[in-house]
Amino acid sequence: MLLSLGLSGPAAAQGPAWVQVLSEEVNRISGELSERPDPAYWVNVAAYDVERLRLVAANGVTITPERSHTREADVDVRVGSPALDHTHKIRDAGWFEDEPKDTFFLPVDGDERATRLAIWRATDDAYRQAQKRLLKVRANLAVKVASEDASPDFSSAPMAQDSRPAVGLDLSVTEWRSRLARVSALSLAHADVHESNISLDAVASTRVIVNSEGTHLVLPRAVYVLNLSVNTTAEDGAALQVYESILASTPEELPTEAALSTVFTDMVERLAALRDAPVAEPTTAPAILRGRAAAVFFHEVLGHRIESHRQRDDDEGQTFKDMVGESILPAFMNVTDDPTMMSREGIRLHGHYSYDDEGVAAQRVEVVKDGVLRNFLTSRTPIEGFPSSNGHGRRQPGYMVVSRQGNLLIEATKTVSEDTLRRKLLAQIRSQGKPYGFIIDDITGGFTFTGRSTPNAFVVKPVGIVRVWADGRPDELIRGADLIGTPLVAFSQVLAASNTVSVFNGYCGAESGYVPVSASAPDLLLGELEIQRGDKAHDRPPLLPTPGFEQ
Amino acid sequence: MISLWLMGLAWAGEPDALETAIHTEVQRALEGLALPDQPRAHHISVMVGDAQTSEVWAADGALTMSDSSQPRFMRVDVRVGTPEVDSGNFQAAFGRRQGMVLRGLGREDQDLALRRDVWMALDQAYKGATETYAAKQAARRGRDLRYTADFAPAAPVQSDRPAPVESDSADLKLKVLALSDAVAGEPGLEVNQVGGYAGGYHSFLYDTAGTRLWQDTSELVIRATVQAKAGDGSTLFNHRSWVAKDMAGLPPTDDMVAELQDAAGWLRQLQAVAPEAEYLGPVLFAPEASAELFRQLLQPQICGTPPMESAPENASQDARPIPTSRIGRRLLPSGWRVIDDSQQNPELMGAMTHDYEGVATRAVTVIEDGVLRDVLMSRTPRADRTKSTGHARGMAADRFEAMPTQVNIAPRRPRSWTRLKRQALSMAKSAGLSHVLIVKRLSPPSMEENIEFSVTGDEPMAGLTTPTEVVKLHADGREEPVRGLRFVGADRRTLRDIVAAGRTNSPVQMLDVPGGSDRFGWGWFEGLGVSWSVPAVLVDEMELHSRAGGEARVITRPE
Repeated sequence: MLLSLGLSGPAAAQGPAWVQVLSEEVNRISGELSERPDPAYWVNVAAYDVERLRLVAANGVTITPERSHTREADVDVRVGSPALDHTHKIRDAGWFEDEPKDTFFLPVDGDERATRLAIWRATDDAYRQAQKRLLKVRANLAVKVASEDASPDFSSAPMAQDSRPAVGLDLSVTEWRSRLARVSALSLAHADVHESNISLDAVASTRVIVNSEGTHLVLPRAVYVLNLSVNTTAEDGAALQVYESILASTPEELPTEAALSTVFTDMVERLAALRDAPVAEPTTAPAILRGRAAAVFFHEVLGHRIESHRQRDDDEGQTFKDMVGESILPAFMNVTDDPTMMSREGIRLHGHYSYDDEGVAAQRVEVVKDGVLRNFLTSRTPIEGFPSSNGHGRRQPGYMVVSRQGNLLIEATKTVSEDTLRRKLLAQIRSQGKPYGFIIDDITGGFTFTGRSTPNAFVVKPVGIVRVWADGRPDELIRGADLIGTPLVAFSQVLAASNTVSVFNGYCGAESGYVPVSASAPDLLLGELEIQRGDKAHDRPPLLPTPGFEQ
Repeated sequence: MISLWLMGLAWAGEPDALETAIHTEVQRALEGLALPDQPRAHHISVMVGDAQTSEVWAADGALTMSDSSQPRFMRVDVRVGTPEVDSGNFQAAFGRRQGMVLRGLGREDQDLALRRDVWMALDQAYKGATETYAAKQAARRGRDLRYTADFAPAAPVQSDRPAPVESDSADLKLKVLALSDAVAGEPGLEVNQVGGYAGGYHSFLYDTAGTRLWQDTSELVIRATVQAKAGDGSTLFNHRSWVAKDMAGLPPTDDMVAELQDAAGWLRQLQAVAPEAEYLGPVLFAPEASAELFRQLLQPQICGTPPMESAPENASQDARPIPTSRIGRRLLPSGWRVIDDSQQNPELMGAMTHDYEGVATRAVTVIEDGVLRDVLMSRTPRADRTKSTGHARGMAADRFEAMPTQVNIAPRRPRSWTRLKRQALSMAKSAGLSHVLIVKRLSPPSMEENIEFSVTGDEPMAGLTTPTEVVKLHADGREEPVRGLRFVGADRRTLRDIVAAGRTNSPVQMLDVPGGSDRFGWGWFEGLGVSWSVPAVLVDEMELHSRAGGEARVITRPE
């Protein structure tokens, strides 16, 4: 929710003293730069105060806990005018045309003098770089034909002020260190678990955004992330990994030792099953994408193509640019991106935030309603027909903001039970005369190409695939396959959805770096899905028996 | 070589869990690691290092980062083939795995957990070594070259496990903050950055020849930069570094503060000086700068580990040349002597009894009467030197190569500083110059701002890092700051152009790495301890060009 000046007065938005110093410097500097011949019309400082604790265990032993505390900062100075500024794309630019953006460190003790000097130096550097780039932008516009999208480079946004109390880390290090060690020791009972790892990252952060429009945000967050992995090498050389990530906002939300042991043991069993599984053949067949796989499928295939900056870039494929108001999915499907949502089905959503990295309040955006494309995810860089931000401008510190996904929610208004969905799958297999279809249960991630110089294709990488036989043979786990396809064809294949929902939490890497995201979806039945052989390693498994299993 | 390994059973003291776990897995590897029609391992070494590190950064008088960690690393080296021809000393294709594996380890000594780590590392290293061996054989095929053996023999050594060294970090934060604060309010200075690092290392080396060697080292490094803008927008840098084994080896904080204030004061003087266009003439190196001069130019000449072989270049199909030894050739003026003796001062950086390959470090007179007589060696032989002198060291996953420990350079007929200056002025006059340049400080490679230098390696276009404190000495004794000059074309031949020298000064402690193009790519706190005791020197003729330029600030500095 956007907090305007009327709703939240300056007193509520002060925050720690060092944040006040940032505000004062931004005001002083922006005032000065607005008077220059090439004026800076927008100055923004973001700071990230991060306390981090990392615990790692493997095979029953731990590394010494690692702790750190940093206050990294990032400055944006826009030179020119909102209609045309230095960030405008330079078309056909050579490699390394732009000097890389960078972050810098602020004193962790809040020292006023050092804070002011650091902001001054970084802003001065950024302003001079921006001045030079604006010269190139103007020349590029003169040399090149007009862009297809003549939208301005920056849009206005209401001032936002919101200051929340800091959160700390509240974790018993000794207890968790022992717990991770005990759970990780379970691997020692399994000869075929060649490597394994459990880590717990506890991060208490405060994201601060102050800018020349008066926006003043102090946004704390605590995150506890458990990552577990087990690895082996199959007889054919494939390096296999089963991976789990558990996200929590408080230590109490983390699993108990018994629950964690169950997760780990289940992973070991899945790894063993994968190791013995046959390798998939390239084919097309009907398939059910279970919730997490369906979620990643939508993140890659739809999510990246509804990010607004791709609609204004003439080098992008712009699959959906001219399809607003048109049906792109079955009428029973809705797609929403809602960063304001904190959890779904009791699971924390990694893509939650209240304000984006341009100081705009996060908004729930109905991207697809009843199968019809309605909207894009926008930052403050406008596109034709979508002149303002809906709070999706995001970045990793040190990168330029672009529009990104937060919590992508795939929903169906007409659903069936999982059993019914399976029956529908079998019916599809038989009606197409195929010997088998697939159930894709879990995935490790995926990627997609959205530009014009590469095929507009996607790849989703499953951990394992279940082959479902038409003749009633038992389901069979297979491995070594990737799901591939192109977006418009893939969406035309969605036939039905389950009444269950699964959540994928992860990090998405794109032009503006890595940002935390989630995607959640029901199981989906697709009439046809193509699989190709996945890449694999080639090493023989270890030549000697696993220690402890020599006999 | 099981027979050699059996000697290891007689090592000193009772084996602990770490030794036992390594021993068990290396024995299994020797007996069982084999692939059809491929050579087996002839030498395996496992090095485990327990580190205790603290790092502190401050800028403008305030703390920006403070971190401490206790990592444990294991390095496994597997050499397949025979000592005459094995998988070592060969640079396989980019990205190709080799016979060395570096991985992190858990801190607790639990037998089965340790054995799993050693087992996996040995398996990976053996497979990598096998493919590297084949690549080396393929690269040699059809080339009519004489090759020396790949691995020199060395007697196994054993030692008891000493008590771990604690890193000396208690006062690190205070010192770093005191330094940063001391120049934080200086008018005209844009920024200061001070970094401190304290590290204690406790390492265990195990090999199949019977070596069971525990060694401890420590280091304490504080570096500081100060930065300002000249009137024309040029960015001006200066720096100070202090390197020692522990806090007791550093000067008192007040002295360090005074040194850094001097560095800042120097920048203020430079701000009022126009950049110098060029200089060609005699150059006098004051003691601090002279230590950098010798470290940068002489180190590659006295280290004998030959470069790694590699596959023929695609274009020429020529082998990478292996330089012939310069032994017997002049490197310094006649009468000069250079000795590397790791035991000159046990309290200083570079002091060691054994190197990273477990070989006892011996004193080596590398230069006698100005002529290169011997070189420092690792266990990688060369045509004219087949035994290690115990100088092998290296960073992380790099090959261990010979590098100096504690170097002492003694000139013939040392002169006083006053006489050196007088001689320098006389030479300048003969060259038609009204002044002579005195270089008081050169950037350490790890703090070098000149990227061109960093990329080009140990014999680059510049040849020396940027001189940060240079003065013109006039005939009337007046010294005038000079800014914006950098060396051009300095190389080992510069050392032969030394015409006079002062007395050998107190050792300058530094961090360094073995020679090669990546010698200048390391960070402020990375490197291995060395000490150089050198005289001030006067060089007959050197060339320096202007590299000034930059942009002035446009935003008013905050009050």
